[in-house]
Amino acid sequence: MEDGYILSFKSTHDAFKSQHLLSKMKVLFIVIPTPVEISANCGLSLYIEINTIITIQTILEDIHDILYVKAIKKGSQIVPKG
Amino acid sequence: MKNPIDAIGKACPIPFMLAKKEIDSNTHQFSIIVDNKGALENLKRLATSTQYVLTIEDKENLFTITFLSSKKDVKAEQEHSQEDKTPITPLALQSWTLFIGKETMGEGEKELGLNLLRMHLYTINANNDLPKNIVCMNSGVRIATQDQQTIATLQSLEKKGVSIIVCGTCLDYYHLLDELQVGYIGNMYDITKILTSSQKVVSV
Repeated sequence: MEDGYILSFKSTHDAFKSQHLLSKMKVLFIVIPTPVEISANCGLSLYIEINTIITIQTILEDIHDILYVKAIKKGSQIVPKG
Repeated sequence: MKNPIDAIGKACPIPFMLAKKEIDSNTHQFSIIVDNKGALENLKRLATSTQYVLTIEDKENLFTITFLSSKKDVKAEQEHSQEDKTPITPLALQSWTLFIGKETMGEGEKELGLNLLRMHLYTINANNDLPKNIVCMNSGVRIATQDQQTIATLQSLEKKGVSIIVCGTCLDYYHLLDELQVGYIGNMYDITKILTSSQKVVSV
């Protein structure tokens, strides 16, 4: 089991902008459908295996209203923690 | 044994057809020479699906492949059929096939389409109802060669027993033959057989 964060966005366009910014900084992410437990308008989320989110928040400081949710990867599934 | 069949320079699926002709006529042993990895992979698949044992000789990218029938050798036959049983198939594996004919899910913007396809494969991998086969054709071969997320998901599915078949002609067309990261190269015979024998084919 691996710990990380799910990033959920206000819109699909914000999700794509974030993908570009993260790729530029060589941050690895997985594109996943937003889990039903997370309330957001956009059905596309990113999962990043990372312990602390500060660096990611700095990279994405220009993207507003990102929801950061602690998550865990169990086998093939990524689920919000708690 | 007859002289080796010369299939040098022959495009897919000619070497496969030449070998299949020998197998259909119950030739006990024959050899065929090919000059590309696509043809080699096709012939390996052909041997796996029939009762032939292969020996491969590689001389400066000229592959001499010898087919030897194992029909009379009961022990070898048993071993062969045991090999066929791997990888282990999960109970939930149903006879349905996912057909990926392009590098996106649906028509429209490529960026959106690729992300939808990434999510679709992720969702399939997280579910219990796994397909028996995933067929990648045309620009769909890019998901088995270029996109890291889809490659990782396909590798995970392959470990669970899903067959990933990637069109050899398409890999050749897009100059991606050497970049295949997951699955095996299939020709139109393999792919047509899979599509027509599946209980259900889902096309994205």
